[in-house]
Amino acid sequence: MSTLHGLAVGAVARICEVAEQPLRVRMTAMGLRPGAEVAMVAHGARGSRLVRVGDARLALAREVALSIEVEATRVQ
Amino acid sequence: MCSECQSGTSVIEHTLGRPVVALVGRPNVGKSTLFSRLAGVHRKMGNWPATTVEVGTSIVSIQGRDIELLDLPGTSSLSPVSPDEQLACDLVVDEGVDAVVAVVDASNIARCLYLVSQLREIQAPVVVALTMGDVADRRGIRVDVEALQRELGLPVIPVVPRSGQGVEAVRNAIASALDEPHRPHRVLHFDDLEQADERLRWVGDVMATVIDRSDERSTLTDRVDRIVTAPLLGTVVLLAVLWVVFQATTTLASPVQGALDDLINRGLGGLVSGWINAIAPASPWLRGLVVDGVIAGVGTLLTFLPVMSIMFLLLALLEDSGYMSRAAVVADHLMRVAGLPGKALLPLLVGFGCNVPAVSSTRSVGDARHRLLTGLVVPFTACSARLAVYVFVAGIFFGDRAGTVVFLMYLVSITLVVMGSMLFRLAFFRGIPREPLLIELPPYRLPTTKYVFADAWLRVKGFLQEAGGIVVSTVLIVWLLMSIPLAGGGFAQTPVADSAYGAISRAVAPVFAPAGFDDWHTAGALLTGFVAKEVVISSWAQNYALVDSTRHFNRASLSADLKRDFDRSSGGHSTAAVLAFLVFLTAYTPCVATVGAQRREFGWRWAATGVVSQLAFAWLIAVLVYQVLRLIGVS
Repeated sequence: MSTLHGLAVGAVARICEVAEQPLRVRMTAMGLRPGAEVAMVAHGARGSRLVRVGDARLALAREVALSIEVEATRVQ
Repeated sequence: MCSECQSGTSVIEHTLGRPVVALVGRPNVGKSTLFSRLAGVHRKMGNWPATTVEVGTSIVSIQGRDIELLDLPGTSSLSPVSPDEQLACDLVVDEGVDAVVAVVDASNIARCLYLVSQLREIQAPVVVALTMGDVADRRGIRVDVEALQRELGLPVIPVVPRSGQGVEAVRNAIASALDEPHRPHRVLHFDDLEQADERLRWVGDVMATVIDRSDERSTLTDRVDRIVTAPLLGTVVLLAVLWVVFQATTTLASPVQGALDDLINRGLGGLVSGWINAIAPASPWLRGLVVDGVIAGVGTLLTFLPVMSIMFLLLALLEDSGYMSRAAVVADHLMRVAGLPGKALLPLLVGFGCNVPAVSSTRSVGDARHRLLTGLVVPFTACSARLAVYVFVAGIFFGDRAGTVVFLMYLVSITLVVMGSMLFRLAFFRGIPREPLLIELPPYRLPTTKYVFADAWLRVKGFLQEAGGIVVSTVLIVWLLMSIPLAGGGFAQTPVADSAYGAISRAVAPVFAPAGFDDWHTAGALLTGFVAKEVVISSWAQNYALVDSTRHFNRASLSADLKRDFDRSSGGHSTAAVLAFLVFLTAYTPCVATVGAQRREFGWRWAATGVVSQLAFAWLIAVLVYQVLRLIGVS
């Protein structure tokens, strides 16, 4: 297991855990919840990450990406 | 979090006297385009009463029945995390609208169904408008509309707002919904994590039934996003886009502004002046009132039209194409230094061209509190009008080092934006959380010409209607003060020094003594700088009685007068006093058109707060600059 932040571009992973934090409800509403599949689209400035969750494309700050534990499943 | 709804009575209906239908949906699902289609030309954009949240409103006739249609701010759920979402939630649940059109993006259904799952529990009937079917098709996503209708238990109408296809069906569905009785209210708590999880499981089940992804293709959006959000390349792309916006709003608009100024002030002004002189030669006050008051005021207002039009067109293009959200991602870490979100970068950069469209363009910032904070610090950006004064003053006092001084003023301006944001945040916005970046990016789309022009026109019209009165009346007041004689002479025939304006300038001048420039000519020029910053130069010339009958003045004489008076008022520390003056000019009260734009966007209270805060802040900084430079021996 690693964090979403460490996922390579093009890799697909399943979310295992989302750490407790103020944004957790919002993250859940955006689809970032345990069991959801995420695809890493791009690595941005200052550790930000661009991911695809289902139909949505989300931009996350480094600290948000670090708070999500994932298990890599495949590469697109 | 919406509170419990106690009554099915619509507060809005009582206020407006007709059934209220609200368009609700996530950001970037085509909600505003659908609103434009349904509303046609009879729509208005403006802040909802007692808030700074923008809501579109229109009276629409559907099957012979007038309804009030609302385009609510985008919201992801009925668990609000910002004032925009709070207002949407309040209007839909607590205020009890009569029907809701839930706008759902067919290419992104999963993200929209969470909100729909909550809307199914409100009292008002709900109609689902399924947009972006074309985008879903291109991506190989197939939506089973009948299955979706069955799963949701709500009417689902596929619609393409850009072409108008399906819009009539939406209107018919609204009419049917308004005849339905309200349902019993079931919503109590939305933002509980367990409940959110339960809703998402329901969304997953619905998705499995209605969506076929077997033909889904890798998108071009992914590949483009890898470029435009990359650390280095993304920044280069952003700078290039901003450069184009900046150039277009200043360079392209400039000749048109000059031509308009010539046409109105010289052409029309000269014509009317000659005409009044012919029919009423004994009434110079009439000529002054009409030409120097009314025509000059309207001229000042209209010269902002080119820059506003170009700015709003470009903003609508960037928003509609989907790039604006990417720009926010790239700029996010830069803007956080000033405690602002990434989307604030664009208004601030535009501010270096002109503060007026910059204040209006804060609408792209999104969150109402961040928008207000951005709108309050925009006037600290050194607009091109101030550049004209920098160049003129630096040329007189610093010779070969003039370029360095002008550059220094831009650094001062950037520092003021950061400091101003920190101070405003400390004073008024302590509650704004410094949330890390977490936003959804819309797919790229080809902007619609009709939508882009309609959106730009709507905003320009709003500016003219709401800021026009302030600009014209301020120009009239300045003319009036300059016309009132206090030491002999007739009305509108007195020298500036002997007018009420001259007396006020003399009364104000001592305030600037601690900053080293307590000369009335300069105090008066700063007062008229409230009308427009570039007026400072011509106002100096007027105050020194150097303007001839063709409104031209001798620059060498003005330079000599300014050097003499700055040297005298600063006791020989003219360099320190001039630098303090330039800093004051950068930071003090924005021009009247900017205040008009602030009033339009944020209301009188915030516009006045901005004016007073900036005035106090500018004075303190100018005094600090002068005193420190004087102490370290800058003469």
